[in-house]
Amino acid sequence: MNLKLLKDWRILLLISLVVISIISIMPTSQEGVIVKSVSSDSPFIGKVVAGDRITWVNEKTISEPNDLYKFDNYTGVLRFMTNGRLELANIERPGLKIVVDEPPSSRLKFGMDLVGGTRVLLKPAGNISDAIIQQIISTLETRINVYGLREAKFQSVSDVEGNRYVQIEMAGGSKSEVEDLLSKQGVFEGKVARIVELKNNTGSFWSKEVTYVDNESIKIDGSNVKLNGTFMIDGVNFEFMNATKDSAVFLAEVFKGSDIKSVCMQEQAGICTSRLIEQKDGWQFMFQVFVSQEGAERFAKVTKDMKVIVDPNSGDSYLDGKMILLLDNKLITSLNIASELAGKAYTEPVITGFRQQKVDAQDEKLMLQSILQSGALPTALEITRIDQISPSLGQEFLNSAVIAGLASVLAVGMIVTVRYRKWKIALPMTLTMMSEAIIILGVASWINWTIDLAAIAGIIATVGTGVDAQIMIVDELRLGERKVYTLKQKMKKAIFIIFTSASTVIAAMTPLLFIGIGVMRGFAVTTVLGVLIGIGIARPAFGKIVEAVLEKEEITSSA
Amino acid sequence: MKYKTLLFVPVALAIVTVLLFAFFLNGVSLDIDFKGGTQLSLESSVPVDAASIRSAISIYNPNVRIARGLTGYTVIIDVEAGENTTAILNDLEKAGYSFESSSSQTISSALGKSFFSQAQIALVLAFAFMALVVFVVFRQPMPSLYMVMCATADIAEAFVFSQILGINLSLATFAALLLLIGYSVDSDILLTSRVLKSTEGSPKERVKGAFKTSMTMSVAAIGAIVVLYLATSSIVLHQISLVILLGLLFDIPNTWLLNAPLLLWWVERKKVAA
Repeated sequence: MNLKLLKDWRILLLISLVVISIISIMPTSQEGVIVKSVSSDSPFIGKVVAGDRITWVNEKTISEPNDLYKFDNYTGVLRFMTNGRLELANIERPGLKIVVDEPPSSRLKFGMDLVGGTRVLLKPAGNISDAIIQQIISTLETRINVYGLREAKFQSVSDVEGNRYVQIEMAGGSKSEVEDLLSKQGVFEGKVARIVELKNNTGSFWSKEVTYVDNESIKIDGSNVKLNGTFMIDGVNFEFMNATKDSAVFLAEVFKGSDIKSVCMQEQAGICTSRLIEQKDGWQFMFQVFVSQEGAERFAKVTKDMKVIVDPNSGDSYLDGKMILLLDNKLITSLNIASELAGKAYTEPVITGFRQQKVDAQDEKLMLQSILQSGALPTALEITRIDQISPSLGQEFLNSAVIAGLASVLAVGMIVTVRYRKWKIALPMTLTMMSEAIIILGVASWINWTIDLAAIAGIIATVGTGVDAQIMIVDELRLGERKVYTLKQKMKKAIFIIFTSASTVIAAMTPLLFIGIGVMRGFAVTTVLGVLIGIGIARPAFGKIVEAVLEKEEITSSA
Repeated sequence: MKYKTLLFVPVALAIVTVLLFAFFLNGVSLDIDFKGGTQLSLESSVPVDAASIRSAISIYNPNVRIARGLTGYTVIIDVEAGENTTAILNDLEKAGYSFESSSSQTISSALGKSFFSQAQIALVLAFAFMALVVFVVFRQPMPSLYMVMCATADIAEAFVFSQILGINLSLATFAALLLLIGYSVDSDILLTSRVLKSTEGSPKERVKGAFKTSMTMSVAAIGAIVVLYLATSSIVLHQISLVILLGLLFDIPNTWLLNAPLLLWWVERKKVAA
């Protein structure tokens, strides 16, 4: 090897960038485990956050997730080392409620299509401001955290046409779970049915005269109300549900979403109810919600004059109208109201439901709890895109892309060896090609760019255009047996061609940066980045090497 | 003027492409990216038959493809966006299929349409930018026009033949087409700058020199792409590599039988005029 060549700044720059890139791609350390998520009721809360490294617990070295999970039944004081700092956690009830993973094998950040997970693109209805997008994100964050999906990342994105979207990426979650959790606006309503008895087509309700017109309309205090029409008496909203000659049914609006103060997530004896009960043919779930004083007073007002009926079988006494709870206008629970609650400020209605399978009952309960706890979204959301990639498929993609990339480099190396029959040209060409790919990955890790499938395609495309440029350099420099031009002049011509062709690639890729909400942005960015690294760093160094090889040849051939 | 007869080949190719597009293809086949829909990818370690899968879930009116990977097979099922993927998986399970893993993608038709209209704008812009670069760099209207013509033929032919081979237009194949715009013009840039910016030898000799370099480039790129195609199981990489491969193949006749004769002709006319 020509040592003088190593002193050339172009070659030095290429070599040092490759070294720096390799260092920045390599993982910091393989020790311990990395925290992926911490539940809000975990003993670790406030002591570690996602991304922290736990290396040691109670004098035991942690080298894989199971080393830590062994402490799941532990109670008492837990000593642990996180990021080199000793922390204590007092565990009263067993359960670590923390998710950890092995340390990553490189510092590269891989996209969801390579590591698996779920990505959802939600389109809010109507014209949306930044504030509303933020409100949507924080509501959904609560929902997802309460529901227990891990590592959800929220992002506000917009396309070139100005449409705004909320994008969520998460590590797990089935398609139906995610759809239910994210697409429900979550408008909660609690209503009480009031039955008004009519005699000779008339009756009275809260000192207003109610008159039967036909099955689809009635008169209240002389004004007509159609089926499902609304009216207000005494500050309470009512909806007209149905009527016969003997009775009319109104639904009084008692609770609204904003009345929900909290949701009972975990059963605590004497404090709140949240449980599953096995029944003959399935499972019943129930949980309490706590409503505001205002809501409770509305309940008292609506129920104070209701009739009591007694169930002849059980002997229990109920009010004559049921309470119904609705989510996004869909019935979730219909309850009998115990007679002693009439006129009381009732603050803790219980939501119940029934499913044949235990796991379905559990999921449904958790779903409702999450949505009620997070409150309603400021606007309805439409799921416009949902991608779900299994981790093994992602791994297969990554493996096959890496193998394909290496095989392609080898194939090109063989082709140029056959063409030039000089390892002094073919080897630097292959090495430069590989170093370009390494530098692109290095830059990706510096700027925290996510490597996804599109980016890998971009890297392969860049390496392809890079080889083309290098072949042009070699041929331009070797051209012209009559020696009309000096090597320097030839190099200038080569550079002209290379810059022109690089410019056309960049020109063609630029529009891709702006379409499809960034789906193909990874491809365009990596290609443009790679082309720039190529013309700025790899090509000058390679040109120098070829110049040196050819100079030496000329000297030996003329000698 | 023997070389002018060479023009027959690329012109015939262009005519065949136009005819195929007009009469053989029933409009542009779009992937779910551009028309909306749900795509399920199921991994199987044992060979599976597309036709029997199609019949097992025929009520969903699916489109079924099988892709072979390094370690197994991937079954790709396209259905309407509204279909329930869990129900499809259950039906397949009932029919006796078992898969190692399943992945799914759903795109609403509104979003797909929006992507497609954006893609059309991007295509026009990419072409315009590329042409602009060529015109600005070479400052010779006719030779620049020949290069843009040649690139247009490459893209159009790669697109039509990929459609005939059953590759739907997706974001990935679309990106490949855009890349081809920049990639395929490389050989034309090499040819044109050798012929116009060099004084060594006759124009014909310069074309010969450029041909040798360019063929090395094409063979290296085609070799890499073929290996990429063979070594990968990813549908996305398959589609990208096939489209680029077609473009690289069509680039050879378009550069050497279309651009080169036109350029030589132009040089001769210029000489006569001078």
